[in-house]
Amino acid sequence: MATLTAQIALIGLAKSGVIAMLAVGIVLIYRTTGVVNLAHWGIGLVGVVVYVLLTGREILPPLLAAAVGLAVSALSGLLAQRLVFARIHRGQVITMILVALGVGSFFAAVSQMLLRGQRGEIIVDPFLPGSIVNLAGAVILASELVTILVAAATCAVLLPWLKRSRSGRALRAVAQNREAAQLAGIDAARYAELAWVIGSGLAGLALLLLIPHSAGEQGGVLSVVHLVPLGQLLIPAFGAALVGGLISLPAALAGSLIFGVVQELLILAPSPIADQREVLAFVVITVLLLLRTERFFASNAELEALRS
Amino acid sequence: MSTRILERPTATLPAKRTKPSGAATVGAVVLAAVAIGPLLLGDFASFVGARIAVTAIIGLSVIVVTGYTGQLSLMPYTFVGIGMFVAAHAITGWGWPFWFAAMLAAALSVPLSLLVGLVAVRLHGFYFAIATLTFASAVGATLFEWDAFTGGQTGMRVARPVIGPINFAGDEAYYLLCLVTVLLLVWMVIGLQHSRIGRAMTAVRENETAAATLGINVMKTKLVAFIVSGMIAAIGGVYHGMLLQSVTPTPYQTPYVEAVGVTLVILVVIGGMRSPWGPFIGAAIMYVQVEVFRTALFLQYIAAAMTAIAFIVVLLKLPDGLVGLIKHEAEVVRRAPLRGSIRVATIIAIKVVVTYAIWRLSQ
Amino acid sequence: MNLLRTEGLNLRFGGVVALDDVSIGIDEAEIVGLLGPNGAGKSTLFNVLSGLLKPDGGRAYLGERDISRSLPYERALAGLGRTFQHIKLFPGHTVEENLRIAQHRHLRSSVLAAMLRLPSWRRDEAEARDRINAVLELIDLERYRHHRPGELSYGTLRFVELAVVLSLQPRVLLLDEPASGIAQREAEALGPLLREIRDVLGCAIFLIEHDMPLLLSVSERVYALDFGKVIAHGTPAEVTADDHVLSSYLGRTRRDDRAAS
Repeated sequence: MATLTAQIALIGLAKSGVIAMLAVGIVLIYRTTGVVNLAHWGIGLVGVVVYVLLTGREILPPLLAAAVGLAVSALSGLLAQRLVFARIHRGQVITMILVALGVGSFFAAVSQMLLRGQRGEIIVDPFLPGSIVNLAGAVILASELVTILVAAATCAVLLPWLKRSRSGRALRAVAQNREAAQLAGIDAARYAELAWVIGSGLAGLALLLLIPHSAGEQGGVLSVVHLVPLGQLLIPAFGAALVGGLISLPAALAGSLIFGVVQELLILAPSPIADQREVLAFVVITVLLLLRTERFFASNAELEALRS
Repeated sequence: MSTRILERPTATLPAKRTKPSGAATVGAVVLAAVAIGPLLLGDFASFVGARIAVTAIIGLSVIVVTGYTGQLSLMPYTFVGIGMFVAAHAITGWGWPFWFAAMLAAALSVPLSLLVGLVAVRLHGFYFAIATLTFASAVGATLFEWDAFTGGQTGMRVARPVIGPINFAGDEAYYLLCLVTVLLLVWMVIGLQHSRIGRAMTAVRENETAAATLGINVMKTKLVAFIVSGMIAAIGGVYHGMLLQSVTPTPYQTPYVEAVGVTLVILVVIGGMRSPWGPFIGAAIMYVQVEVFRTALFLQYIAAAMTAIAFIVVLLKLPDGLVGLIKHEAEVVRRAPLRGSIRVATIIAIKVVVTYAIWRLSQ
Repeated sequence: MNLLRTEGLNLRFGGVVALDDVSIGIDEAEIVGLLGPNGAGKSTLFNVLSGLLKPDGGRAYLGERDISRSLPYERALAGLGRTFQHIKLFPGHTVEENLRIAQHRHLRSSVLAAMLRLPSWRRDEAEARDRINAVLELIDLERYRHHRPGELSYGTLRFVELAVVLSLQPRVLLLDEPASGIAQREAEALGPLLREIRDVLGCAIFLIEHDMPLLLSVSERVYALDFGKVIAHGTPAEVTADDHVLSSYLGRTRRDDRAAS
């Protein structure tokens, strides 16, 4: 039983890793620019599609193609911020979120365009080995292990960087009070773009670790279910980010554990709960929304700054 | 200055009707063309016309909750799905007439919109949108996976109505039925706009605090908007079911239900988010575009990308969408009839030529 | 009997005391002024009275009714109207449409009646039309009927806001600096207008104003607030002579003046 639990926990952990990377991107972007990034999935998707094209025609070796895909995602996010989001006054909440939907739809359409409208499922070559790793009795795919490690490494690097480095602190300053930061000589626009580049890069990374390895040892499958503006994992990612009120990164990480590991472990629970794991996740997200969790992580003044 | 009048208003004659504006005349002409056009172009054009009309009905739900009240709901198609399958059961299963099934569908949408509404109206801006997204997923993962309701993967059949001697099974007849229905619903939504509750909705959208200090119950207004919107979408679902005649649950499951919800919002915004005519125009453009590019799938995705860009441009620059643009052009024509008409005719001609050219090239 | 009454209102923002045991009373058809230096808590008191802020303690009554827990819209429906320091109107609507929104309290037609254009809806719209015409005439804004707020001067908007809140037909009207930002000439017309409003509608007016001549000429009684506390209250003459009021505004008392001379 312990081994089964460990087994499920590991699978859940891999899912948590993907969710964590998406959630961190969402939080970074929201904190720095006040944008609730519903385009996050679309931006990550474009990177994956570029990867699929490059490996499908064997233009580049998989690992290099993945790097290019990552760069494309990051660049897409940068363009979205520079050309579109920077022009929207933060006070216009509905416009902001509609525009985000538009940007996400745009990238989803571009993705389908790049695939030349291929219907059905596309086999995707993985860039990580498909071997199985044995960890003290539990079996896990190499790709899943790498996902966990990469997610952990990202957080291990990103959180201290944000806290201590000059750029990181500048990012936080812009997030807390844009005007004051600018008065202090910080180029708010530059740092807003930096947040988007990092966040979008993370989205690309998350989807690159997920989709090309979704079929286990054979690699991955890219299907219609992915080529949408709001992918299935986006909602749990927002759920995780909401644990921190879209503001706190450590809380978002805790949230990604809830929506990954904890949710998977519920398979072991008695029947009705196990079957309705997904619905339970939705209930949790609804509760988080009602709690207005942002109140716990930011002062009223900071929230005002984010809204206007 | 007057003294007593503020205290006790006396009834007066209704205000005299002013001359109909240029936009109304243009609208009437377009409407006539729209009504007759597809009938002249054959069966398939009628099917497309019906599709546009049905989407316009569903789009009205977006107008009420988002256009008027400023709340972004991403779950209209959840209500469409509910309406559709309720119609499938009522019409095909129990032999009910379609209008009765429509009323049932609207009624059955209320428990869900009430549940979601009571949760969501407490939330602001993007949290409301995310809440509707979450509920759409939740319902997609439960109700639309329930075979007893959806008839499983094989789906269910929905018969088109027969009213007296008229059989609406044919596309042409069905198109006219849909057209009449959408016009009726547009009329009703316009009535809503010019009423106490409709004005409360727009007040809530523009300035919640001011609305509250004028006696408007903001939460109740948002809730009513959401419920009315759900009912309209459910009625749209009934017509959608009759249009397709064979319905499956897949489009109402995650993640497709959200994707099509986004598409709907996009076309309503492009058409004009604040006007009941917006969804009609947005749907017309979208489905004509789909048909023009039908054979060239690749072009379809380019069109989709351009639509997304158009959507963003409209959001940033043209808040009233194409309806606003048409009203503006109608004013231009009214003020300088000859010059204005030439200008408008030129713009339309260019668009028609470009579309035709693309169509020919894609053949 | 007091129409609007508070008992011991308290409110702190973190370490700052915004309202300190504030007890005030306004009678029917009275015009009462509220003065005090910036940051004294005047607008805060209005926000608590209209339900936009929750006090830490104390109660508020409108007539017989305890409104301490009522939501803003409930207080409005009970007859409490207010204007804001920063004008709050509906920017996408014309003056006429703003006034039409403000008719909300008086109209009754349901959603269904509106959608089907039933007679009850028609009656509502006719009644709204009459009330709008009446208030436009009272405030002399007929010429701006079809203009949007964005097209009008600040001074005119102040009057539009007044017209909007009057449409509510309030029993008590809280006016937050109605003369701020308007030209001298119009400010002078405001005094008689406020009195006329009181005479026509029979409503009480509670008025925050920094324009002293206006405040003192139109108010029958005055409250003075400083650091969230009521430091004086009485007729305009009494309050302006009060030592505490003078020191809070000017930093010195009459005794100091006499000692100096």
